[in-house]
Amino acid sequence: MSDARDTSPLVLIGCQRSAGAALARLADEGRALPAHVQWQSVPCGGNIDELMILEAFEIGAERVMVVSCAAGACNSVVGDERARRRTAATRELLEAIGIEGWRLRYETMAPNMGADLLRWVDAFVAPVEESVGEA
Amino acid sequence: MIVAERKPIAEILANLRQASSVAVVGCDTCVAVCMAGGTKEVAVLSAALRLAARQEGREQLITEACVERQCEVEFNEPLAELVAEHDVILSMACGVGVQTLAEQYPFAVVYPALNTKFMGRPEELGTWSERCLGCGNCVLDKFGGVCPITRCSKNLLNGPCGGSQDGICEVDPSIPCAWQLVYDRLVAIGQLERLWQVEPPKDWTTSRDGGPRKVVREDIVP
Amino acid sequence: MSDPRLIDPRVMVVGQGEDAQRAAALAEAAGCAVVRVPHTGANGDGGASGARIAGVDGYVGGFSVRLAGADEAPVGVGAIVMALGNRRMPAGVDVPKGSHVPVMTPMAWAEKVRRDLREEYRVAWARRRVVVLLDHPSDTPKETAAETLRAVQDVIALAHPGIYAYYRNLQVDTHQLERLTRETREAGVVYCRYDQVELAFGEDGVTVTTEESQRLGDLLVVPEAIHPPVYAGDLAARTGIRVGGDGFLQDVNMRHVGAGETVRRGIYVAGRCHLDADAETQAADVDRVMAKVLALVAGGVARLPDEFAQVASEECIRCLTCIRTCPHGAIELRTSEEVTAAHVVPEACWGCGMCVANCPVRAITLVPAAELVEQEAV
Repeated sequence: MSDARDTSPLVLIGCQRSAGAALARLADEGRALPAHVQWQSVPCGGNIDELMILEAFEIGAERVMVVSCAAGACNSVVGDERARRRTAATRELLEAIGIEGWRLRYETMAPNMGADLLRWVDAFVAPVEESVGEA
Repeated sequence: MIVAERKPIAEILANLRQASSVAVVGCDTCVAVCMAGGTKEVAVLSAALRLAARQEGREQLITEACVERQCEVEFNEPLAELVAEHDVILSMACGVGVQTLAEQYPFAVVYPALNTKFMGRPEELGTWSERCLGCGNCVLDKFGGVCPITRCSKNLLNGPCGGSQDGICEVDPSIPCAWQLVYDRLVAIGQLERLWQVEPPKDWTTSRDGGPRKVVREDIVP
Repeated sequence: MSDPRLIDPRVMVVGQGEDAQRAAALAEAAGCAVVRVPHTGANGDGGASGARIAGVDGYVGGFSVRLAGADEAPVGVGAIVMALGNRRMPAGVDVPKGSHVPVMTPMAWAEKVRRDLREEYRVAWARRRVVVLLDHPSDTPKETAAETLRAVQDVIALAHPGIYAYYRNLQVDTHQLERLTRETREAGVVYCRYDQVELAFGEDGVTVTTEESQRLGDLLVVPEAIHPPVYAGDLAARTGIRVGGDGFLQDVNMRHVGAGETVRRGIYVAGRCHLDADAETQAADVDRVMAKVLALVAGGVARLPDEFAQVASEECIRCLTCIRTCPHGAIELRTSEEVTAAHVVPEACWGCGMCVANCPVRAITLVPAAELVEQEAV
């Protein structure tokens, strides 16, 4: 197992009230997303659709992380649920065209979880293969 | 309206792999309303096809287009150049639109991206259910506006069958028993005595079983 | 229809009870005309004409409220405040018939002690042994426990009965609760934890048995259970706002307790019908929400959101998807110059973009408010 971080292109699509607000707070502390992460802001998780995610892969992302507010925290009530379901539907589509499902992740957060966001981005790597009977 | 659903991607891809160029043509009428083949779905499928080609190491040009209503030749006329320039036309319209394109451009290879399902209505956002199967001889007047041909799993004209339990069809718990619905409606409009009328076996020649059908308005044809 | 951008300066306050009274008084003090609707008799079981809402048309600044009773003309208001209150009922304690042991709610107990101000009663109170159940029969919200302890403090200030406070699951993890438990403990209240408690009512009083102790009390204080207002669900369905899983009227962003805004711009919730807390906190909530309402109404013109959705009407296929999708009720079908299309009412829009994501023909985009102003200037 390699200890090297995965620095392949990652697109982070997040709603402005969750990830967006968290990134602003991180910026105040002088912290930012790593260089290989491209940040895309949407007004609400409900605004995210399959096309946005597919286009991220088209422009060269090897991983896409979708982030919205947590259940119960969305100002438009259902945005997080829509984001979650849209991401799930897109993951099915990706797998049908040969792109592994793990490359698309969905997370929820609050604006004070900037440190968690950075951690998730770093931890967003291929799942470790189960090795059977390896010497 | 006509309700359709996108085919599984694997099935769509199977027909496209040999093509070096594909024009994905949608329709902004029925299939747009049921979120299967309108402008947006064309964009989504096209993006997926481009990614698939890249994954499989294939060079493939994908062009997107959408017409107002694909069953009308006038609306399809502007597609002539597109059709000529692409190996395959992937139609995201209902079966009628696919065939119209094929008839209109007889030397084009036209493939369907959707499975056309039924004539139905939206029950709520995102859910459409079947209401009419086009039997050609509407008897909704006899059944309080509920169609037993379409909504009864067994097309019974003198239902219900013994499988009706608490208003649910024995075939599937998500299917309401059409005859329960017929009964309730006839009661509501005070026409329950209509059910005394025994319906004879249905003459299916007015339906698809009599062969492909045609309607002509003699007063309108030129 | 009047220009929806101008705010109708009237405010509708829905509910009867102290929250509604307070809200109405604040509005009147600010010079707003107030329309009161008690919203009773929602299940068709009577209620005076004009007593309940049948539906709300229009948008923020220009609502048209249909009241029950076919002959009622709709009422025009600029903002609506839901202040239904909630229902407080004594929590279940089975007191056998014929028992003379008084069982009271904390408020009633404190009130009684306050009334019994004469010297001999004060002495009599000092001889009492009061058993207070802080979170019986099931987990009580912290606010209720806090309220109970405040009642305990009120009583201690006036008289000095022996007070035994029983609790099972109460977590003392807020400043308020920590202060209250500490101060009352220092004043002599005995706290007893239990897993199981048995109450036996007899001639001498109520015997309270737990794993650790057995005590005799002659007065039992049990907090009230709080239930949402009876007609919350009905009202929410009729006005396009939401009810949470607990039955209370729901703010947008439930984590943001006390925000007071509902999914529908211009409709607010205040007081006990969306949160339960002690009287002070609730009054403060009503004040805070009314400040927002009055700011809206005083503005004269509805404020546009920074960004809002706009439908390209020539592209619209009238599939009704956006209208059904919008959680804020901001979209309607509108005919303009003989073209019928979906229309997003800018003042009611929250700019969430869900309609944008769902439109099957991609006819909707998010535009900055400045652009609308430009478009209209042309």
